[in-house]
Amino acid sequence: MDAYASLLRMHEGPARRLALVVCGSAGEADEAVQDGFVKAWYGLAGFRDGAAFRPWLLRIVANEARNRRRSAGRRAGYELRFAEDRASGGAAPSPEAAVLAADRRRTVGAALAGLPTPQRDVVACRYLVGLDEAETASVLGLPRGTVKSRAARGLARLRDLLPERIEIGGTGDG
Amino acid sequence: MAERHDDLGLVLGELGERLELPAAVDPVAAAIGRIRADGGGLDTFSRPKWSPGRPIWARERVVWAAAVALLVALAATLVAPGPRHAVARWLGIGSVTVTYTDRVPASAGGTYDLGAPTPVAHAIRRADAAGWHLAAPSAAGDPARAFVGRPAGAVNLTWAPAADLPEIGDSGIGLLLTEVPATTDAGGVAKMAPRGTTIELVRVGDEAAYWIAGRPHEVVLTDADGDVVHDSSRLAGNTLIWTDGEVTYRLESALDRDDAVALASTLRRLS
Repeated sequence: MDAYASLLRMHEGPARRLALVVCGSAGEADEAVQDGFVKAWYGLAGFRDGAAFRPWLLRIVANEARNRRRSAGRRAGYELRFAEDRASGGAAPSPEAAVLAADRRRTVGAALAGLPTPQRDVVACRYLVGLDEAETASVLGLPRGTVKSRAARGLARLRDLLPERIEIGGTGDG
Repeated sequence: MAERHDDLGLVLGELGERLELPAAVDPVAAAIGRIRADGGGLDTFSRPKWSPGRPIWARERVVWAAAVALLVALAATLVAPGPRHAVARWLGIGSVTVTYTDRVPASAGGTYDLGAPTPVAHAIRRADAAGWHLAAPSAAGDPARAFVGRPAGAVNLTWAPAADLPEIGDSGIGLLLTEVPATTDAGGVAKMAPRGTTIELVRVGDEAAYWIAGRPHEVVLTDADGDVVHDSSRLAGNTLIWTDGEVTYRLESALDRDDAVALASTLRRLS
């Protein structure tokens, strides 16, 4: 059991971020993570020898998060919170820059909520959780081509959803 | 005022790093607590004949898979002595690592060179002088012989075959207990297990342990410099590896898992 706890500690961060970006609710997300960790324990016998553990675990967590999102239905909101800038060393942003950055975070986070769920799941996995394309495909149970196309469409849609005061350059497909 | 940024992906990546996770809950502890609360689906071993007075749990493939996943995930960090020791402590199995390989020499398990023979009393004093204490399973009685030096700093204790200790192959030995103190100059012990070998994570007392059984496997020692020294001298019977305090124990026998764990649970300091 100690070994399993240690194993979970290794992947706790990505699992929590994944559940959070899928659910869009902090309380639901940690419930989903717990459920996922418990289900993974009982499902370890089905873990394919030699397979990568992280995507397998994250897939279970993602499924739990999606189940909770579906259960919550339309009444569920989608809200992510982001840490504010903290002064560190000599690199603390100016007050104006800090305000702008915080505004940008809130605005982009709110725009994420406006994405169609399939696109949002992919964009969030790829960019907020930091999974690569293959991991995202595995975690969400999608073909890699679907991940690629949804990521591209999601970023384009997200850019359209941003108000004009938030200008973001680049193609955003990388 | 408009604010420019070069790439939306970068902005999202920055957001990901700043995601605020709820601080009130530790999902790992909560999940482990839930698993423990409902028994964990863990099979309890049959009451062992050497009654250790404590239920011992195991779930074969479940924990085995966890252990393998751990090793896969950490393989890259098992190279240098520093990380190796850190990881080994983290794994809870002292200075032992287990890896799979298809390249186990045919000689594995065929010979045994346990180091320099020495009186048991001398081995006890030698360990005391080095700052650790030799121990042996009380249920097995006093060890018949002691050997030192393989691996460096370690002590091998042997017992003769008996009714409760079947001979390991044709070695003339019923039980071999290798004790490796967690000193920096003692090197480490790795098990090169061919596919087909059964590796389970079990428990000896409160400590995690590996149970390795099946096909002969090679023991790989690492010296003080972290260099790997293949050592096909072990008997390669069924093996139980665990750590208690600062000492890593490797118990090799012809016993089955339950009996080996029960025997290990009677470990007592020798004096």
